[in-house]
Amino acid sequence: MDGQGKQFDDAFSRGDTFVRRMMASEKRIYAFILTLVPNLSDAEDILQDTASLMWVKYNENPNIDNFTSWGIRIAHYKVLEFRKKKYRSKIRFTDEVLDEVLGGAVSVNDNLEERFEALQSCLKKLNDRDRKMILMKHESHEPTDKIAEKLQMSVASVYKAVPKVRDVLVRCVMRSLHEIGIQ
Amino acid sequence: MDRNDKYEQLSQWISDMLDNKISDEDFQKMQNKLHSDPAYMRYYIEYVSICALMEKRSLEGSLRKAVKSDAGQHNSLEDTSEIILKLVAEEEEAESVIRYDIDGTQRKPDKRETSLNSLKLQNILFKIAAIILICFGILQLDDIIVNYKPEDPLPKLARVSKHLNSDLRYKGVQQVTDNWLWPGDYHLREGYMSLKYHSGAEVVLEAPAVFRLESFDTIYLSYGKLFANVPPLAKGFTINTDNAKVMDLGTEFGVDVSVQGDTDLYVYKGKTALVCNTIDTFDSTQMVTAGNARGVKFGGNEVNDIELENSLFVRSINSDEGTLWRGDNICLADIVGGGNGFGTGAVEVGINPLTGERGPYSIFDRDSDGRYVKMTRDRYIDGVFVPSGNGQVISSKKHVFDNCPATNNVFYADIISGSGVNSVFGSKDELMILDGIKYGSKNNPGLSIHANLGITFDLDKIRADLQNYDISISRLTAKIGISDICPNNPHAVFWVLVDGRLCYYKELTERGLASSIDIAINDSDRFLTIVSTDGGDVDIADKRSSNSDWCVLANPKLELELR
Repeated sequence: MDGQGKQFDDAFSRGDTFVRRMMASEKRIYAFILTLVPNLSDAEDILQDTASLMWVKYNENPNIDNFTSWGIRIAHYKVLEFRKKKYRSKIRFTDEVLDEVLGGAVSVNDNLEERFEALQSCLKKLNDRDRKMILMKHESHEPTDKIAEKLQMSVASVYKAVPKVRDVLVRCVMRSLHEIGIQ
Repeated sequence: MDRNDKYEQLSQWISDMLDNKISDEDFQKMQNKLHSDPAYMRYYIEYVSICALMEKRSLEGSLRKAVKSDAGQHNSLEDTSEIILKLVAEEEEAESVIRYDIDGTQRKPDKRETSLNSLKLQNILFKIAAIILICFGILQLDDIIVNYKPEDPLPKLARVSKHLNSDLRYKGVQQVTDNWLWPGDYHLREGYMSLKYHSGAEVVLEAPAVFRLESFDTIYLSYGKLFANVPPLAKGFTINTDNAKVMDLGTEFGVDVSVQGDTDLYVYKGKTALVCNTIDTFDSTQMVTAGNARGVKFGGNEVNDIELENSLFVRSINSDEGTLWRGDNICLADIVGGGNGFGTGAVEVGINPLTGERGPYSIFDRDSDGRYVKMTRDRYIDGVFVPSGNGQVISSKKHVFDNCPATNNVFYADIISGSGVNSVFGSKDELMILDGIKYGSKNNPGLSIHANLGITFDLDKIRADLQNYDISISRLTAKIGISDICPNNPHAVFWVLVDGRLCYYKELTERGLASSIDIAINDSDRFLTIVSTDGGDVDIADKRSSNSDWCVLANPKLELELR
């Protein structure tokens, strides 16, 4: 293999490793972003930008000790960049509130696995209709009218029900975490 | 208002916000709620985190595509000089923007800053040194360049998370504790205080100390003692002093700045980069790793090795009980002596394995039926026993030592914390000598567990009493051997079990030689059992199988670490 070919192969294999590591860290990084920018669409864009910058830096130097922490730092940077761009928006936390959210986001991230396990168990406790509704919302990203159609509900009922089901899940997860000593 | 009413509106607002449907007015109301009530804030964070966990995205496909198209285009690290220029430019830009005063106004660089052009040079040199670390993969470039620089005049940098008898002053005015601190100069006149940063980095300050909160990841220590516990997320956290700069690379360390301006760095875990500000060469940057300490004299031009002092810094504050933790470990011999593991117990005390009574000890052969004796009046010791064979019960929760060898069911001495010279009956010799060192004193603690004996410690009870310090038990370390004083040929086996699981055993046939024990302890481990058994030799009246089996557990300790 010529030098250029080997270089390409090395880079390709590095890319593969990067994707694997990124997939393992993605939920944590995304949770961090969404807490600071609570808009599903904006958070998705920031995650994409974060992943791009992570790849550029990773390709330069793949010796990352703690990939997730490193990713969160870059995500933090990207969130701040996003806020600069959106500084005129009225739907934007003040820096003071953002600081408080940031403290909480870091602490939640420490126990994300436990939250995920608790969530799985809480999802099972929902009735069939509520579980389908919440999964259609978050997994298949169905629009509200489609969810209403599939569940034979009115759009207004779905609109009102989704926050209630999420609230039930939040309370269930918080209770489960409390039981295992996580505040 | 009941709890459901309280959160119903908030849930609707968050939901609307996630879907980009919230009105400006509702958003402001929601923001005010979050700011005014920590319970709302906590609910918000849980709510959004849970939504994030439920979200399913197709990131993998786009990632692979991006990576594949990019493969081979980025060959190596950028040219080092280019990076240096970038960093210098950032440094200059940052210096011109980020200075705050406590009243919220940005302030111009003061005399100290403007006169110290060399400081800028030192910063540049520091970053060049950092580039070298990056090239060796030690430090991530982004740890330096991806660094939040706030634009608002009053960012809250760190929160007072714990304090004890503290008197913190700003411009001479006593500050309210349990609060956030802004950028500015502070004087901790009395007591102890723990500050937690957004990144999770935590510093413990001990009075008297003068310090300046500079940014989200730097603190300037004019004088005093500071201990830093920096989690991976906060890697890059930096302590500045007049003559040095310490950058964390994922670690626990202490910095002691004397009134004369000398800086001493003690690294307990992980590693740090230390830069001596008075030396304008690359050589001034040193990696200082766990177990090492360095001193930089004020005005001096060299970094010297100094002796590591384990208990120099307060590492954790227990505000509830008004106590401090300085990195000490739990001594099991002290617990056998009736103490709390931190030196409050007595020496020359024994526990009789037949009764579980603590007191003066005897040294002569006694028989046993292998019964597990629960120590009902003891908090940290679950029970004691004389091991008798397979299926030996070793805890009050009926854990068993599955392959416990059959013994002659005889024990010779009690379980003793002490040298052995005070026995009420039998030998009055120094019982515990390993590698020429006498054990059994306060300074050199040790346990005599002459075969056949067993003792079980309750780790959960110990943990419960450490809870307010935010520390955990990480390992059991000790030395084990047969004391040099044993008269004949010894033959014993030493065992360590955790919840009935065998973690360590060693057959001992030579006297005076010490072997090291190092066993990891997990948070879920409940009972730690230490057992000595005779070697199964022929048991005759004038030469029992347990004869001369003077097992010594020297300096047995449960090592503690910050959570």
